[in-house]
Amino acid sequence: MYAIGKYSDSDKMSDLICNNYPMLLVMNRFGITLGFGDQSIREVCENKGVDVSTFLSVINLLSRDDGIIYNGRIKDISLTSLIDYLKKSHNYFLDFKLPLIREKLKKAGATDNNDICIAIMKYYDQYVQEVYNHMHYEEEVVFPYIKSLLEEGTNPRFNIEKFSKKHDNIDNKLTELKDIIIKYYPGDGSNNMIEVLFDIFSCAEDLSSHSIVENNLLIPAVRQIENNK
Amino acid sequence: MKKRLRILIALPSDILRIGFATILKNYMSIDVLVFEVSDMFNLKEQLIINKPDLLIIEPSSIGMFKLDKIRRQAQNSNLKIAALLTGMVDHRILLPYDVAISVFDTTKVIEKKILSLKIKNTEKDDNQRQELSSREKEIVICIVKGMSNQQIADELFLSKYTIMAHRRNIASKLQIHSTAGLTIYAIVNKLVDINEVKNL
Repeated sequence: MYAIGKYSDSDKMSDLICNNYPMLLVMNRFGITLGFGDQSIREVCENKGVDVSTFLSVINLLSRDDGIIYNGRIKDISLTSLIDYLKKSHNYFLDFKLPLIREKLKKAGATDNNDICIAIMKYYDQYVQEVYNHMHYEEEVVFPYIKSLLEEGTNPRFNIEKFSKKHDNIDNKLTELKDIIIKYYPGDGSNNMIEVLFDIFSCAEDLSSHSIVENNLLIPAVRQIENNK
Repeated sequence: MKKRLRILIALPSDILRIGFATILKNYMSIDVLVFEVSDMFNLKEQLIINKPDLLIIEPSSIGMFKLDKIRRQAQNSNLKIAALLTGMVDHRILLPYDVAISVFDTTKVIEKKILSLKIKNTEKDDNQRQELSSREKEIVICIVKGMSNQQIADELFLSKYTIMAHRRNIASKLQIHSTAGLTIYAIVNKLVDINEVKNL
């Protein structure tokens, strides 16, 4: 047993994914590809060179179906592995999911009142810029700080507390857009806008899971290293 | 969207902690986000990370941790603290707590006790339609045209503080907190024409 929670390293990877399909995203970001047959979580991770305890900590943190957030087992986490995972998540949002939603939004609005479409796109583009700034800060400031902390020691100009204090939820504005569309969008009954809403719902959830991992695994793990210095 | 009430349950007993969390999560009409901590030495960290509105602890388990120290550590002077009682307790011990919940309380009673704390987020929605007044509509139009509070105040012969109060009301009625969001609202409701909106 490597982590407290629902899943352990001897469970089948396919069972994990079938019971909990959002974990497909987590799996992919750890660099695990499909086609793992009946192998256990440990076997799949070892074959792919993935740190088993970090993988388990993330999936167990995110797969509590009652929505309760557990205090992750911090000491088992490999920060290098976790940062790699977070970076891949950033790429997924910035280079894949958010542009895809933009395309679909545009398509959904194209047939409708053009003014509303322009205003929605404007809102969306501003939002994506905020997400970009948020993630860019993590990649340019926070992650390099953690790397230097792991390699040589503390950096007096920065600590994780600073990051923790200014780390806010990036899913709020996406949720607001969803609420505005649901409440005020003059629908034409086409499937396109409904389809985008599903994407926005799942993307907002995914972004919120992303923050949960940062707040409940990354920050405590770094804080522990800082305290031991 | 209404903010969810954040509750941190700090109980070493798995049965009590997970049981309480399940009740809060599944059997209450209040929208809650529940966090758990079992090791009291991690309490401070969890208070800082999760910024709870309400903390639930068992008086006997905190022993040396004083409540005012916990409030200081949480960096939130409005933090409410509830005592979970598993047995008989001298009532004086409970004085520093905001509320006491017994393990024998029913779900209804627990909900009532949490609501009695009057934490901002738990106020029930009045189901009235949240229509904007005509004054508020005027202000929305000014905002989406890109005017500052001072410019709006000058235009409508009101004080800047009145404008700020109106803006707060608009945000809470519509649950829209950004200018870009108000722009969509204003266009959908035909308050403005796209050509009047700045920076689009």
